Amino acid sequence: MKILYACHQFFPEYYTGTERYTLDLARQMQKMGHEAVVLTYVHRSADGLRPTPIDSILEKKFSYDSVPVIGWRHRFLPPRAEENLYFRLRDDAIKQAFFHLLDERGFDVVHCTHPMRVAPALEAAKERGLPVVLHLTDYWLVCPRATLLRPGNVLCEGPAKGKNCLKYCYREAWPDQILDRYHHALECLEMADTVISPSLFLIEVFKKAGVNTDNFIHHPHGFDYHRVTRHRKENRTNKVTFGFLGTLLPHKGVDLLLDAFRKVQSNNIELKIFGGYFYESAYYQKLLQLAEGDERIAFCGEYDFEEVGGIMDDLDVIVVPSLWYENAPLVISSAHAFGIPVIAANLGGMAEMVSDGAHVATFPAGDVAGLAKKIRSVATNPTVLQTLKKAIAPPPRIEGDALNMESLYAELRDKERTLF
Amino acid sequence: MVDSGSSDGTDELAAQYGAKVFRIPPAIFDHGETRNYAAEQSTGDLLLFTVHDAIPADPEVFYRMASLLLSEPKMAALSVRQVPRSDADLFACWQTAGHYEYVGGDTRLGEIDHPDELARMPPQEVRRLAGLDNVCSLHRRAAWEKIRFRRMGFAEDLDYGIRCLQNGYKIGFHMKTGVVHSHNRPARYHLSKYYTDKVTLLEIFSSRESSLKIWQQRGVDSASQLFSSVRNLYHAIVNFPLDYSLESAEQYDAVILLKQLSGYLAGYKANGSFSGEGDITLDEFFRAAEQIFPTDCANSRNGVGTLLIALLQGMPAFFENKRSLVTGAEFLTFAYKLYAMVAGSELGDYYGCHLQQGSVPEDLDRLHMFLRSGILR
Repeated sequence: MKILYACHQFFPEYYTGTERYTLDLARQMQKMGHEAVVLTYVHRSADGLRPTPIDSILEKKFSYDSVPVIGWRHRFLPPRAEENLYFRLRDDAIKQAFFHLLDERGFDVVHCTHPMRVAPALEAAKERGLPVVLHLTDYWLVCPRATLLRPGNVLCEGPAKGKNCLKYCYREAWPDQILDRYHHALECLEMADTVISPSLFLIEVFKKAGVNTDNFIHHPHGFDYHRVTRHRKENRTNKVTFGFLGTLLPHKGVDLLLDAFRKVQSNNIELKIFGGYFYESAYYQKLLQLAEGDERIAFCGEYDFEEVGGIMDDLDVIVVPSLWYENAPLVISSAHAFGIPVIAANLGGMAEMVSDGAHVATFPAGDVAGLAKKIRSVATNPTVLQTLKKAIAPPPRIEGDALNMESLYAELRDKERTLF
Repeated sequence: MVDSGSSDGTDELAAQYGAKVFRIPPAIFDHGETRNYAAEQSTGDLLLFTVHDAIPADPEVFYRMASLLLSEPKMAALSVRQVPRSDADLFACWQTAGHYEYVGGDTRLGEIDHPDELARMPPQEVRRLAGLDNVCSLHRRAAWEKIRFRRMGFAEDLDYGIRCLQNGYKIGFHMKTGVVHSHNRPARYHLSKYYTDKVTLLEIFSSRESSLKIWQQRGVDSASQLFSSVRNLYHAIVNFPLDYSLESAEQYDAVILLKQLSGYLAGYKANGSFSGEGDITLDEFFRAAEQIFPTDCANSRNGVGTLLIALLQGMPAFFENKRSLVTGAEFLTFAYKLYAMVAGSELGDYYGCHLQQGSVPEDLDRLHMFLRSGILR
């Protein structure tokens, strides 16, 4: 089978959970004997871009970890490119480029793992009679900010057909674009034969946003277990090591974790923070100040996902204190694959992933005292850690995920063939 | 669980999880008899056979297998798909994809109208209909009690499947569910594996495709002559002048590399020079085999190289569609394993033909024992 994976951004420029999942799935499909190609948008670097039959689109071809990648970019980036490319769903040049690619390469199915910048793939594939699978890894289709978080880190109850977006996030600017975007999003979702959500929570969000979710299925992300080895370091102390892995940005709630950790006066605990702060240097300075003078806290810098095994070897518990409705964070599935328990904010997909029935693993989002209480209970009572470990539900394997996808693609392809 | 000599605590761990563990000495392990022994210890109406390193790809795999098996009263057994592990190497992936291309990767039911039908079928069709896979298979106890596995070092599942069909049963293949299972074995393992595979298949399929006469027509009159050609072909690959780096992560066009290697092998003339530093496991094999077949570089034109070249020439489609780019090290490792597959299969065929005639020369018999010792259980 020939499968085109369309993803808003990809390695090596970007390497968050969605890109990682796309890569792992494409690699596994290759291993199962299928042709898998990733189509993405490359807007950071113009190196190596060449003309395409579509005048306004340039492309470069490369491979990443054995997966062939096609990167597109507009010859001339639209005005206010970042804002525009981040926001819009329609783009005629990109759609024409998809028509050309689909006609030239003869793909059997198009699987879009994030529609930002590549949403026209859905329309082009449908017009060519190809089955379309759409994966939702965040709320971008119904929330242009993707996080359902309003300025000031206030949780949003949903777009209200774009009215809330206008009122809270766009300050009544772009009224037509915002309202049109909402309708374009509904069209995208209807064009997909199957919409995959890794969390039940996300399906509910879309339902509340006015989306017909009849074509939605719940399907947690597969994890590539070949990275999973567990070798506890011999020189470890008897301390309980808490860890944070992720970007050091305000909506990730790292400041809340530091506040809570410092409230626990115990010498048998330590906290290791892994991740970069990108452009938020002021926030990073704030974090450093919060940790100042506490030798139990270490900032360990950015990490490569390939190093995650070594990092996990040194941790006993991972804390995910996010202030937004995380959908299916890779850090939780990674931790669980490694057998490490997670304490997470009781929000969105996070709560689903760490659900233990007794709420031992969750605390109210944004509640410093609540998180401190959880940390204290782990520090003072060893059985809490054991309870958390017993509640771990390891993520499914990427091989099984790919087998399910293969069945889905074949089913949709056969259905399309009877239609055309 | 039947454990034939784990030394890593697997047996204790299984017992902790409530499994009844039956320990047998490794020396008495047999693919057929050990499964019979395991079945005899059980009481259920359905028997599930699997292996230590097969992981369900789907949490409902056993349920789905049972549902399908119970839906067809004449079905004696069914097996499921093997999905390569996420770290499977190029050769392991090619093997799995090639296997399903050969026998079919579709969910199906193998059955025949008359017991004699199989004898007239080409081996490919027999394997498609009867090629049960004991990496994960579910059996009706009543059928097993009647058919039972036979004592076999290899392919006990295919043998069982054939006898099921001959006895009026059906064999199922559920390819929409499966187990994660593949091995990144060294080249030396593939030499023994394909050797044993060929010997066993010749036993099962009698002499439908091979005979000593064919070998004589190919110009092979002795085991030492064939072995010499097999060794020369290995030397040829070791001497393949690389124009890519083995250390670099840079990726190369696999189809170009295939063409380069097959073109080079087609024009290769053995000249006795050999660095002896190719694949470490094959180097060891050939060093040890000198005790049976002393080194000599006589080159007979018997088609061993031709077979490998034909395989390489037939591969661009696979690479173009699946893995168009490979690293240098990946490609060379693949080439050694492919060579080991061809060499093992050729040696196995030669041995099997002698066996069918009832006389195996002493040197070939020694090689047989040596190669059989290299297969893992």
